[in-house]
Amino acid sequence: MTTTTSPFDRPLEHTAADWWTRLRDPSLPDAELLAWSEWLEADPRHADAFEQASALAESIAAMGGAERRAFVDRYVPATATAPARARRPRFALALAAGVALAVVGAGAFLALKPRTQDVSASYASERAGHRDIALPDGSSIELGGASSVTARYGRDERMVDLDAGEAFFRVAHAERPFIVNAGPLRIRDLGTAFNVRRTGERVTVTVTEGRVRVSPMAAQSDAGTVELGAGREVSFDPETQAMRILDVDPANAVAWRGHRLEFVNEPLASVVENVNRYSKRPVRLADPTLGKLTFTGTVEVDTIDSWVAALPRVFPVRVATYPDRLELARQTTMARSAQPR
Amino acid sequence: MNAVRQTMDPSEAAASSGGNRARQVVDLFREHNAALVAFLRARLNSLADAQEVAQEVYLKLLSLSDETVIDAPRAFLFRAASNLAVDRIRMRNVRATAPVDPDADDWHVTPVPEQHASAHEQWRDLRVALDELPPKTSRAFVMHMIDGRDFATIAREMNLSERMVRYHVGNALAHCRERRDSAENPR
Repeated sequence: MTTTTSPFDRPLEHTAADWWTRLRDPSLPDAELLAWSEWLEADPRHADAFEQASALAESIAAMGGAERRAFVDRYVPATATAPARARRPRFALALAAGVALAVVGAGAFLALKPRTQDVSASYASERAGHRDIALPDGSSIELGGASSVTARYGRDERMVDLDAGEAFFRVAHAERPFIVNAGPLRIRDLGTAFNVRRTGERVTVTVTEGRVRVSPMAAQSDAGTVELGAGREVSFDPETQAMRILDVDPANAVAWRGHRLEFVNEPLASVVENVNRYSKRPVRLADPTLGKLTFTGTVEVDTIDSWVAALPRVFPVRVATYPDRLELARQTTMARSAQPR
Repeated sequence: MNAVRQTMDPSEAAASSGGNRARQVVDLFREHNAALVAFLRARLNSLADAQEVAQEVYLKLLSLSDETVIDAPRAFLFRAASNLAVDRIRMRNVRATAPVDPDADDWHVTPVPEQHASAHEQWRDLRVALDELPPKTSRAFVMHMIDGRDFATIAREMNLSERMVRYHVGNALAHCRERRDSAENPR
């Protein structure tokens, strides 16, 4: 029997399949992983057998919903828990929920609810980093530097918490409202694009397309709710607990996506905190009263050091440069001559 | 950024550790990229996702500060990959638990006829191969590969050790490979 392809090497195929199953275990020790990589790289036939096993596994995992159910019904005997159990693979779970809703009605669906809801995913970006997040409904989030969000999608609403920093939301239109919780504010929308910047409890929401409703988290009713259209911005000031609405150029609010931060009458403390989401060397205020000065202007995140160096021209401050930080101190006549630069 | 850095510190741009880091990462990838993608493919069960995440690993390593000393580069590479794979799976889970949106999902769309026919044949062969195996072996395999359960869950449900579950899944995978191979290469 002559063959043009290499004959099936049963022991090798079993070794490859065994390694494949070991690699599936997320807690596989480093040492075993290294042993596997040495095995893989030792011989091209090893790599080939492993690839074939992986390809077969991948094609089986991509099986469509109807066939999937047929296979499970055929090979996995039903146990007491089986019928109500949500099937785990990424497609099948959604399918199970859909089928339950369609054939057995809302009562039974409610029993499945805890499994199909409140699963959250958290995303964070690094200092000076940007991150694009594609959400399952087609919405997207662009995260600015040192920012983090948690997405919790449920049956009735799409909920995203902005834990810190800045994010630009582009919301796919759907019946389920899209809600962003940003500290003291809640932003609700049904298909639009807007930017949220959160600096502690200070929050600024800028609408670039469509309309959103912004309400204080604490509000019991609609009291304090404002509705904003494109080109409008609302800022929540934690000191006065007031919301201030401004007409803005929407391009400025999302300028950070092009590496620029724009501020209008923003307290210096908040400006510095935002700049620090991008700065290699953090900027510190030696004197906290400096934080109350208000700043209007642009900061290029790629040239933060030059922005800081220029601050003494507009504010009564001096800059001290240290290897790990830039410090702003109140300028005095004495200090001016003793500037450490 | 580069322009600024150069004017601020011209010595850094030349023969610095930044260049070494990039060279180290490039070498690491040249040597182990195939293993990295193979590893991620097994974890994620998707070649396309594996290739994407391998890119993320690459970028992550490049963005490490020069002070970070990597003493066991290969282990470091796999650990970074493993972490990013966990992120990727988490992201998929959000997708899976999002309620069905008929406009956004395409998995339930009826396949076009010729794809459907070959898929049908493919799954018939798989059924034939699985029928040749002991029931426990095919059951563990289907629970993991098709129903998407992890080994711990299957072990509980089948009252076996995780090691045995893995053994069954590996056996079935090798057997299906053999049947697929003899169908493609009749000798």
